[in-house]
Amino acid sequence: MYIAFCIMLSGMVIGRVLGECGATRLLRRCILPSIMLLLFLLGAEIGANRELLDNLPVLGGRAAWLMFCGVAGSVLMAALLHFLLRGKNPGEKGQ
Amino acid sequence: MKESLLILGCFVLGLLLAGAKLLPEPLLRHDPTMPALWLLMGLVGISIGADRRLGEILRSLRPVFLWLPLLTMGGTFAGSALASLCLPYSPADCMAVGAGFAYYSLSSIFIGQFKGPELGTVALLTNVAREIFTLLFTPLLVRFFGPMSAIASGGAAAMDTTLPVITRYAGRQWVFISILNAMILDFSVPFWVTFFCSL
Repeated sequence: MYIAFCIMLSGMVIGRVLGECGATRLLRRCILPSIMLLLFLLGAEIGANRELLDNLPVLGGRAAWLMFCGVAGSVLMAALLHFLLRGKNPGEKGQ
Repeated sequence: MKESLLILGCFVLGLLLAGAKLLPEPLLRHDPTMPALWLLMGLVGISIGADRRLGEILRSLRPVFLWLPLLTMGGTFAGSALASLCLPYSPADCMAVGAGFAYYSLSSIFIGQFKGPELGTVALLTNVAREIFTLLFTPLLVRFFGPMSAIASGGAAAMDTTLPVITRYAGRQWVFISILNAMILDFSVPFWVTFFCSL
């Protein structure tokens, strides 16, 4: 797992050195196709696993519950911050 | 939204083709996801490194708004850990799933690699659902919980797919905070996911 980290950190250094140029813009455009490829391969891995495929509706229910709890937690914390800032906007003074 | 459906379509296509045994056996046997993940991580790293906006955004904002990404992380982790009480996964596994912050592609691949395809699938569905939830419920979130709640709900997607709907219902003054929050969350995804997966 640390190989992936090192690759990302190396990429950040390369990106910092190159800055916004034609090459980095081209590489940025390659992110979506590489995500599509990865998701295709992930789907293939699950599709080849019969047991996992049969449990897909159950996994969807678990995902919905996890999403609800995670979002509820973050929304409540953000609402608390909103309350502590007394509903002020980023442009307003006195924060 | 169109992009999300396209990505989801690739996942479903892979699922159907492999389910119907239409993919070559060696493709699935040699785990080609790892080199593809390395490629993606390199591209994401270059994209973050080349982006000059973060420095500009940080200089133009009041420090108090830096609490938002921290609270978004804390709230998501607390909620995910509580969710584990009703699920057959450990709190660390659920927090790893929550740590995707709607960045479903990277988080699901990471979790799939480290925890197996079942939790990887749950991570994908959870984080896609988070993005769709934000797209659908931002007007209600802004109305009842304030503008920052929609930004927190959008997570890492609050700087791209959900940004238009957040801007529309929360107001343009929240754009930079939304982008900053999403960039910090986006950057933190690989670190948090790996951390929780290693517990």
